[in-house]
Amino acid sequence: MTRLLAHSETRVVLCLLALLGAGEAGMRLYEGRLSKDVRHLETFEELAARISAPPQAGETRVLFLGNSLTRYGVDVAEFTREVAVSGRELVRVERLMPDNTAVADWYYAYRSYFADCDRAPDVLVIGFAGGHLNDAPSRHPERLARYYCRLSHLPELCRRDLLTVDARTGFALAGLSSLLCNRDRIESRALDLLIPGYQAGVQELNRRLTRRTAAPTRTPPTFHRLRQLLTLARGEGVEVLLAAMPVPQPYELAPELRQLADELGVRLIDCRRVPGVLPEMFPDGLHMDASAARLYTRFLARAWTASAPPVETEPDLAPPG
Amino acid sequence: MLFNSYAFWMFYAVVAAVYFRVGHRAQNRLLLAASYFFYGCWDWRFLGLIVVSTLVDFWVALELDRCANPRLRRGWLLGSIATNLGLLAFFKYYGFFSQELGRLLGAVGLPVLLPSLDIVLPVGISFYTFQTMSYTIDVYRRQLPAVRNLPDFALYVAFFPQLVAGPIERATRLLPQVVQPRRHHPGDFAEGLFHVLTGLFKKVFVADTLAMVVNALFATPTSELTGTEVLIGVYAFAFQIYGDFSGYSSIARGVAKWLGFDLMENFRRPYFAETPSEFWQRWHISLSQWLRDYLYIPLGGNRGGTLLTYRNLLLTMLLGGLWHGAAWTFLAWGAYHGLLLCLFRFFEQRRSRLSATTSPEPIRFLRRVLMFHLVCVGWLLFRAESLTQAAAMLTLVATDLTLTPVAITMLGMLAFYAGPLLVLEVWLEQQPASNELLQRHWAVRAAVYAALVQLMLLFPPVTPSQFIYFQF
Repeated sequence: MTRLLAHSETRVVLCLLALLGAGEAGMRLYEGRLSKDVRHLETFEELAARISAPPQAGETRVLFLGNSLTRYGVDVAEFTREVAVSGRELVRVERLMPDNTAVADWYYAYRSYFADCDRAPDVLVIGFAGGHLNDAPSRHPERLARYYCRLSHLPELCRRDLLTVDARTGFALAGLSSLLCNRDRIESRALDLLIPGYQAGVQELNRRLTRRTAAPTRTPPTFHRLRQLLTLARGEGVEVLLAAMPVPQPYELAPELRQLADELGVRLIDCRRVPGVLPEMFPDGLHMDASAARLYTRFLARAWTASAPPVETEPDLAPPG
Repeated sequence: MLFNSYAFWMFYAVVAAVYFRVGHRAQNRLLLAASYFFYGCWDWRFLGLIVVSTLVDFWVALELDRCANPRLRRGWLLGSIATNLGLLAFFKYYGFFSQELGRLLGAVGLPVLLPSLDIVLPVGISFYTFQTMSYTIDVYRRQLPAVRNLPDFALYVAFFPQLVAGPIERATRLLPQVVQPRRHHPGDFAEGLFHVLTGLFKKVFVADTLAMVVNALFATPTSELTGTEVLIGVYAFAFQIYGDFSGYSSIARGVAKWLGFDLMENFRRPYFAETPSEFWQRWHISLSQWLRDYLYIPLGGNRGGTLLTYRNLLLTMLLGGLWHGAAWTFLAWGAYHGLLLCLFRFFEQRRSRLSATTSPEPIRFLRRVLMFHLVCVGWLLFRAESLTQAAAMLTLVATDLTLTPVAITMLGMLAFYAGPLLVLEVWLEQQPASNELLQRHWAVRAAVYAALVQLMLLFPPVTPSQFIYFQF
């Protein structure tokens, strides 16, 4: 085999390897400029350190855990103000909100940066919509490798998330390579630039595909991953809120989810319909604008600080639209 | 275990690491074990089918070799063909024919409840069945002596690079390479690398990415589509199926080359064909040649006059369509290509009487464009979920060419994902040899490969798909 290589394409192969190396180096140098999300992913450690710094007297440390819905939907200043109005003392707020993530990613992020290092917040607010809390594999397992997981998580990853040799190999490579980990960001940027209406067109193609493949019967969702996350947090005495966030498309809260929240002593705050939040306040069809974010944050803060929490109650104002 | 999976390359690395350290006989046994393991990764249960097919043909060939009585020899051959086609018929066609027969009998007032079996199609059954049949027929024709060594023959049947999706290798080509010790040449690695990288590029960058466009098109009710969307979707399918199948063949050639085996070229830039017959000399060459040698010529070929030639062409293509699967759409696709071949033959004979001169380049270009579109009509029949859907889509193409935003995105994706392949193929088509890149300076190759690897790396498909031809 060695002779075979030596006699022919050694230089070509070396060139290819050099190119891959250069690509990786370039990506590592510039990955922070790729998107806000990459910069955010790289600040998990600092964020965890900030939240775990010893509190001042009477200070409550609140960690928001979610995705871009939380990024656009939680107004930190409004939250702090509203909590102050309610008579509570100081709050320290941090948001962990990587794009396009759900409970599988949140679980490992919380475990790596908070639970495993004894850096638990006082309050954990998990913002979700639709099926974000349902059991499902991570949409970006390669990012789990690089940003979320530790080596000690490998047995659990292999048991629950990385079920095939390919998934495990891809995970291991992504742990080493920023290029593999963030290539989808380059892809979507390049295609946005080159193909007219790419995002909207792909969404439409996906809609057509999923409409065909959607299962006609409803199978009850499961929440094993959420249970693990909640058990982890509750075990450390963290007060946990599950915040069902407003989005333009209506969604149901599964009875199994309510049951789990009750069982683990977690408050489920139903913010699906926040008074004053209207469909036109979602300019991209998914995320809240600043005014909707203020309304939602205020609603959430009030629900949290209220002595009688409005758990699983409908807001008293008319639904949007 | 797909060629574009990490699992395959780990498997291959282990096999190669052992392979180059042992002698010829041990190499063959290693490859046989590896091939059975490779196939077993899909479904161990179906390994029995390969073993049965191997044993039957090995034994029948020995008898054919030994026997001089023509009637007895014919009996042995028929026995082998019946076994192979019987397995194929049961696993591939039983469901379709029992359902259609039940429907037919119901329509004439004889409702019959035929047993419905939920049969899983063994991967690659059509490929290895045709390969073993060609061996037995060649031994029957005394074009080849029977192999005396069972493991060698078993390796010929199950050789993992081409086991599940071809090329359908003839025993006259592949068996000597199994039986004789392999000789490695200095250019083998370079050639293998060329085939592997271009194959992976076709599969990962072209086929799997266009799969989303194609699947979305055929999942949409025709009432919600425009002709432009259909047209672009069918173009996308033309490149998807080409990238998928020729990509597989190319990787198979590459990995076989590294092991010292020379597999046949299965695709030669088919969309540059100017005529239907040229298309079949460029597309799935191993199947076209198989059908020609074991079906068309035995049926009489073009030796029995014009009408019989047309009949033979139609029958061959119809069975070629049926080989792909048990569905009316595949039969229609086969019949359509048979018809194209007949029409071409009809016009070609008239044209050659008038003029024998070569057409100028612009005319040749137009003929290629026309042929590509004729092939695309066939692809619509091939990919459609029913003949009704195919007819509705064809009607749309003829009546409604509204340019929608989705159509523009689809066109953009088609240009982005198929464009680089087209550029590479235009260049290759102008070169005297298919592997011209290997004659160029190493820096040129490195640059081309770098571009292919970068595109694969940065623009991966959302989900890797199985190779389309595994289902055939």
